[in-house]
Amino acid sequence: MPIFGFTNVAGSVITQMSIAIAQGTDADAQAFIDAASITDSTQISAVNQLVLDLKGYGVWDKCKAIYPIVGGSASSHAVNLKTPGTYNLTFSTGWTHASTGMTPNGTSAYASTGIIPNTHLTNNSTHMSYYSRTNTNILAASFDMGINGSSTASYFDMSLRLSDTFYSDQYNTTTNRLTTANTNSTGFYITSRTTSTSLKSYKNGTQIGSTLTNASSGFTGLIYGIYIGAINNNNLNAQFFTNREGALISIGDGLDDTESDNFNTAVQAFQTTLSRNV
Amino acid sequence: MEGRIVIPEVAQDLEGVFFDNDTFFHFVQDINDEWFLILSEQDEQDISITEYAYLLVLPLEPYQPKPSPLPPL
Repeated sequence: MPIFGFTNVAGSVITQMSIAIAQGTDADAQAFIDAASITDSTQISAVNQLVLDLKGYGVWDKCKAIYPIVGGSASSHAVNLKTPGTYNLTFSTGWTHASTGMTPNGTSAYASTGIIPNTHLTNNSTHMSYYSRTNTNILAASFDMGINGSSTASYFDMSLRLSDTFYSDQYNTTTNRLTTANTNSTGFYITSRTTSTSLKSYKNGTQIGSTLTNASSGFTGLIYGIYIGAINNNNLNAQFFTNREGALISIGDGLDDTESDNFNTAVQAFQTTLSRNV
Repeated sequence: MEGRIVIPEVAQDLEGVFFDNDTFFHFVQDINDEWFLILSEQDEQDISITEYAYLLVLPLEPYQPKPSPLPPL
């Protein structure tokens, strides 16, 4: 809340008056704050500024879901900032929720988004992002979020550090997989397809790996909801669990270089305000 | 990692059942095909005030996962 200060100097006496001016809160931010029962003033301010920044950058409209993971409880972390009550998360057993984020146990925990790529997203315009506060190198198969169809032709996922390698599939694992070396899984990761021949990934606003230009295929096979903390295995089960604390996650349309950079700027400021930046 | 072993019928009956507004039970099989319920401390606190508190009486046992099937890597 901004403070207007008057300083009145009279001889050696200094009188200070402060007038608190109620700050207007963005309506979408307020809807989230209400739905997530956020009462902490720093968290309210951070969420409001995040919404304003994302709208200013034109990223807001490109997101189907934004999970800011603020509030410290499952009920608050479940809420989708973009449209509270729609695509809210549901959690399996095995999560730990804290003011710094939410952490799956790497063995059995996952969260369901309800977002089905072939139904709710657009072919050749898709992104997912994950702000990770944990640096772990998982040697077994593991994906921080995603879904796979009935064959290798249909995957939509991201693994931040699997055997010191970053993985992103959009959508065919044979021809549409982007991999690059990664020896630290902390930071804000975005993987984004903006056309049928452009798949890029970013870490803290900088592109990692090369641009994958193979023609995309397999989107229509993505007919089940995206999981977080694991991958939805063709709606049969959750598998390939991870253990990284997430502090903001999003899913939506493809983001270009500028949008990805701006998204990173907004998210880094958000995390810094909350004193949980890594 | 430790968890609680339940009989297959319990795992089948409770899989996907919500014990509060946001969290549901999820069971996994270990390397010996035993069904495990692996809970966080918060899960235990939340479950302790529900009709499922009886699960917390089960002893904790070491969990050894099945070898992870390889995705197409």
